[in-house]
Amino acid sequence: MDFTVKNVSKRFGPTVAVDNVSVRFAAGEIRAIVGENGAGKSTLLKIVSGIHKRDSGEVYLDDKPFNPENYVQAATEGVAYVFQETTINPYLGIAENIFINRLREFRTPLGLINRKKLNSAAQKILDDIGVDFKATDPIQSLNLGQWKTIEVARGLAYDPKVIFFDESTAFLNYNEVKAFLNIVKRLKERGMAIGIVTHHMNEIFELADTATVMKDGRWVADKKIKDITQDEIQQLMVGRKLSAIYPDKKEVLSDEITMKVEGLSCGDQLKDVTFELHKGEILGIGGLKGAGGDELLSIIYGDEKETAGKIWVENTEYAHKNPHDAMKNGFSMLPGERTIEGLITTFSIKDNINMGAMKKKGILTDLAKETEVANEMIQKVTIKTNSCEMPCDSLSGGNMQKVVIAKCLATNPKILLLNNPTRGIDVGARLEIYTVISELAKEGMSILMLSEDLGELIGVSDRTMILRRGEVSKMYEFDEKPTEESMITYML
Amino acid sequence: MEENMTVNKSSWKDKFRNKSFRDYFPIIFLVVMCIVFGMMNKRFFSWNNFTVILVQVVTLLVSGMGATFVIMTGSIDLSVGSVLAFSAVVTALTVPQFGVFAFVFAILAGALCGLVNGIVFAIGRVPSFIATMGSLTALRGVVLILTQGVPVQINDEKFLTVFSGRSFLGIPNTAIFMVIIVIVSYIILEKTPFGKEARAIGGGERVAELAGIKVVKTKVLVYMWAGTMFGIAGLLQSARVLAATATLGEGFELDVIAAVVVGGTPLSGGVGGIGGTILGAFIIQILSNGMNMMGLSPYLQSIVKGCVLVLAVFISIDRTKKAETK
Repeated sequence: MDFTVKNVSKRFGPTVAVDNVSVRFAAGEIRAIVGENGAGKSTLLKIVSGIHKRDSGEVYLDDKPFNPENYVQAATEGVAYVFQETTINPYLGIAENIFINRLREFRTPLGLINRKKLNSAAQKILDDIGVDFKATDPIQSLNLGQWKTIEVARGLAYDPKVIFFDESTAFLNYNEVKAFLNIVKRLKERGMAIGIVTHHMNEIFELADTATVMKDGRWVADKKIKDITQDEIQQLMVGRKLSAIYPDKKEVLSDEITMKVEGLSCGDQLKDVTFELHKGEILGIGGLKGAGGDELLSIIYGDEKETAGKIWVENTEYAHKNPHDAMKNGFSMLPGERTIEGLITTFSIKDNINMGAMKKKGILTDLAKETEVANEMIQKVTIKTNSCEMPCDSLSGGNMQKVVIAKCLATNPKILLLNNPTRGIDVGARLEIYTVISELAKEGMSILMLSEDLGELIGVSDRTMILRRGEVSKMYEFDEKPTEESMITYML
Repeated sequence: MEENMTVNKSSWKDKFRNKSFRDYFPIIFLVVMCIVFGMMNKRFFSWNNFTVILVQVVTLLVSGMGATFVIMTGSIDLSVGSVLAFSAVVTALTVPQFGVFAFVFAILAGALCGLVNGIVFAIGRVPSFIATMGSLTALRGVVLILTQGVPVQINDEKFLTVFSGRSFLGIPNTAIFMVIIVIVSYIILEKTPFGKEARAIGGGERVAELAGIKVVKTKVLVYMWAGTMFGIAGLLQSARVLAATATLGEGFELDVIAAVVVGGTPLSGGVGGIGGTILGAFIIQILSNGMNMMGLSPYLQSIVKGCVLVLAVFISIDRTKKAETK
């Protein structure tokens, strides 16, 4: 049995997500697909398991062309995929969740569901995996790891020959991960071909036989795990020189402290985070998804509540009750989800820019002033448009993001919080955004920049703080030069 | 850079092309409807009929001014009819003692109802549909208790002269009040931060919140504004019929929502505005007026009204939107 992927490519609009990738999955072998965020790992697996349509290339299962119409057909024909996101419905039973899209197969002549048959079919699959719960247990009593097992069971219910796991351990705790890895090992012993995507190096070395490294949508290398070290894999993953798209850095960092954060905690998401933000500094925050960066920004901006900790702004304690309060205290935030949190795409550029800081003349809005501010901002952050009255949905992603930045700047903030300011933006617009950010810092604005892009953290930040599972694992000081390899080590 | 510009231009054109029919539908519909009614009955285009329509549309349009704000924020207020009746009863009960100044109590009664709605919805986080359905039912009960099911007459000459008399050229006073209210509503919605904040909440509540807009406070104020408008509508209605009855405004919420929606403000909020609601209110009212003049049976009228509502939304809905955001 083998599953061969040949020269597969996939574009999403202008971005090439997967570029001419070939890879082979063999029976009884676990292959890890590794790479940075956005390298195309998940997309590749989704293409071969029928979730995305490929633009070109071929896929063969046992030398027969494999062209499933959708996910269910792929699974029925032998290739199952376990989603990264939880797809469990907590209001249904375990057996119902496993057979969620196949309940028709369990109908009695009257059209009702034969629960006995359903439960015993589910129990059989669970027994094969070897789990510590029964198909009839209440689903609410299980932990996240066990929920993941139910999703695995859903895939196995099709009796596939190939199964893919996409970041299955991302939200599990230590014990849950261990139990999950054991299940994957058992599947391997049953002779299945297995592909996993994971950010955790230790899992790759514990589990996988071979690794395929991807970068920017392209295939980089195929390696046997026993022939390679963790460092070598990471170098292959990063493998890129820093280009000149980043602006020149400042010579000295001001001694003046704008904001001090002390012992900030939020349940499991954020643990005892302490740091200082200097005047005119760009402080980068790095870390994997779920490492706590989003929570940190949200708490500072008053959008989420901390469980412990304090924040001082220019030596006075700052309450950060809600976003309105944060704005009044000189904060402004560029949210992570541009079109959901950042701007109202059906509104005009002008209305979006002035949303946080409406100019008043008596009780009325100062419309002339608003137009003036909008035009000034369009100049300042170089938004490409004919008029400030244009709706935002007429703009490209990069220009939309500039509108969000303009909206932040229109409130005259002292401290700017950026959540992945260049996510999903092409290189040209990135360069312009970096220039704007660096200019603002030079004018004395203090900037906190959360980013998943390591190159950006190194190229733009004055100092960089790395978070790992909610804790600060490393602070690169002003005179320290971080490398992508060392940053990844602190993230994992 | 150049590529960007052309992208902008073409989508601008698309916008305009989309706009041409969808956005002008209410006015086209209104004009066509008037012409048809005018051809069927000569009296339709008389000055007399015009003033009749003006007097009849007052309650709907003034209530619509409140409902537009609520719907603009993406929520709904079903309590219109009951608030209207409540404020009418308050008016009728306070007129004997306070005369013309009973209007203060009517407005306060409406604002209070709106405040309660707003608090339950925005602070209590009860969905607006449920919150206002509750007050729709409960307030009707209050009205029944206050009136004991018997109409409360209004006899005060001065009050009636002010609120249901006619001024120069025989223009009804209520119409003058209505015009003032419409202008004020327009200014508040389009020219003040409060109006823009309400619109922003409808366009994207999360975006508005992160932009530092006080979402909860704005929502409560929107409901208070709406209640105030319903209160004024109740006042003018009671003056017109010289009494407050227990059944006043029953089912009226549907007419008001229809007027706003036919005028182009979708229930999801964010877009639309006062101008649309003016057209919507006149469409609904003239439709009734014209059909009455034609002597159409109420049963048939009901069918036509229902079809017009669905047709208007069917035509004005933006079907491209989902494809764009996906």
